[in-house]
Amino acid sequence: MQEISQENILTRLKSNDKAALKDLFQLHHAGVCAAIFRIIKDRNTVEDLAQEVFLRFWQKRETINVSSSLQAYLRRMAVNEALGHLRKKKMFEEEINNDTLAGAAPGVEHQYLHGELEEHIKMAIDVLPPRCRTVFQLSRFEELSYREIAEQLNISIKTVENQMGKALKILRKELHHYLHFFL
Amino acid sequence: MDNPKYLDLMSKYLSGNIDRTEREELMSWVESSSANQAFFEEMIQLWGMTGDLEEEEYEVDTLEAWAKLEPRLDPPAASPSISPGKIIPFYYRKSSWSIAASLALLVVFAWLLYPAIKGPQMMLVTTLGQEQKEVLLPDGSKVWLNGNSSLEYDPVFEERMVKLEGEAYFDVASISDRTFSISSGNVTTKVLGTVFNVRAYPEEASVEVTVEEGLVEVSLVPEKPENRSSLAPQSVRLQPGKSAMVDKTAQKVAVSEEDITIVTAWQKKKLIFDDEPMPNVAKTLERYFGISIEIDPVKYKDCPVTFEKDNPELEDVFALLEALFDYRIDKGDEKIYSIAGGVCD
Repeated sequence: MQEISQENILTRLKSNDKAALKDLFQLHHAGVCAAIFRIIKDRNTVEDLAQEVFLRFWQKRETINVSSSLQAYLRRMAVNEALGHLRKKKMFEEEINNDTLAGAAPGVEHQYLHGELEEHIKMAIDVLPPRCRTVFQLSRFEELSYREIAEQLNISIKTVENQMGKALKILRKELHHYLHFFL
Repeated sequence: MDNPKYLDLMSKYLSGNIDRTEREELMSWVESSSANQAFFEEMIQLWGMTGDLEEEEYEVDTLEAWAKLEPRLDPPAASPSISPGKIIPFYYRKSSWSIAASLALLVVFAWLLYPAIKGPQMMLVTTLGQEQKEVLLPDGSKVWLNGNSSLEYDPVFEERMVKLEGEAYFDVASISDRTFSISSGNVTTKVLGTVFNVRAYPEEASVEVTVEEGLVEVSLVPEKPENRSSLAPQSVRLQPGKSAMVDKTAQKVAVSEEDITIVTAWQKKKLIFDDEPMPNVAKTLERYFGISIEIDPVKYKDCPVTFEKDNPELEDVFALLEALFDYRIDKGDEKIYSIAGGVCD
């Protein structure tokens, strides 16, 4: 079996080869879902949005220009799709008012006394206020710059800064048991 | 410590959104008190911890999802590519047999694709005992591989990631926002663009990362899953001249100052000693020539050595030391030497 190279897939896609999309789908569908799931926790929505990502990719196959890797490209598309969905639901605008409450939801700490560290980190991130969480995730995991995050979420760079600071403050509080392990 | 201004600067620093002025401001704040320093280190650790969090795997029936997507790929009826009058709906109304057939095809596809999913063809560069190799990676980074070592990477290099066993000196090309990572067992070294040395021979008790230029993050993920609940992944950020020693048995990370010229002597093919106590010289020679030297560390601690030699040969160096201090250097079993006698003031 020939190795499936990125160029190969792209060339085949450009000549309308559906099997090429199938190859791509097989390789990256779960990854695209995972990327969306990080931002949106509803599995039905996640899978619908993943479909849109691949459909969009197929529709713009002739003009597509991938400078990095296909995986990174699809991932970026997935994140954009998820954010587009959030924007449509106006979730960020609505949140602004009750966003000033500092700190995470109370009583989280006792819930995870016996879990594993990774679970704790995940939970600590999950309990961040939604906008704060999305900002943090886009910075930490998608490695978007503050400017890119601001553009994606339609908020000011100043707000991104505040949300990042807030996220770290909360995470530090939630995870303080694990800090200071060495040095 | 809870000053939001520095929290914001800290966030910018960690996420790579800081500019030079802000960085200087943050650093002088950090250096102004030990509490600030502690806060800084804690935040770095926190950042490292969240970064080690792997994306949750998403279980999904890809075959089913594809079956849903496939009919949507064809343009709608109005598309110019389909001549008017053509009856399209039948196209969508696949018989259950043909759906089954296409599913079967997909299964065959999945099987054919398996090697591709499993992982691409990896490049492997290895060196023998006294051999060294210079490797140019696809991203422009350079690696000097010391003896008895191996370097493995995916030639596509989508992720800037290599696996190292043994010792290597890295000159990593700086590409903004794209970290370069080196894994050696459960120790991971992450950088943006810098120069540093990693020593990770499987038979040695520790993994050592020493930085010559730039910032390097070293993290250790606890080896045994059952330890995970009690052990946080430990990570440290290293500045030039600092070295992280990861003790493989204790699963602990310690940071120390190291003389980068000694650590990287093998790569520069140069021995430099400037008023260096003899026991340290012996250590460097051990490392450089891959030998062991038995020496009384107390007796010889006040014997400073000064010399510089390019492309040194073991015999020449020993001859020089013998001439300088009247040592007796005996060769015992293979590659084990002992130093005795001699004078120094």
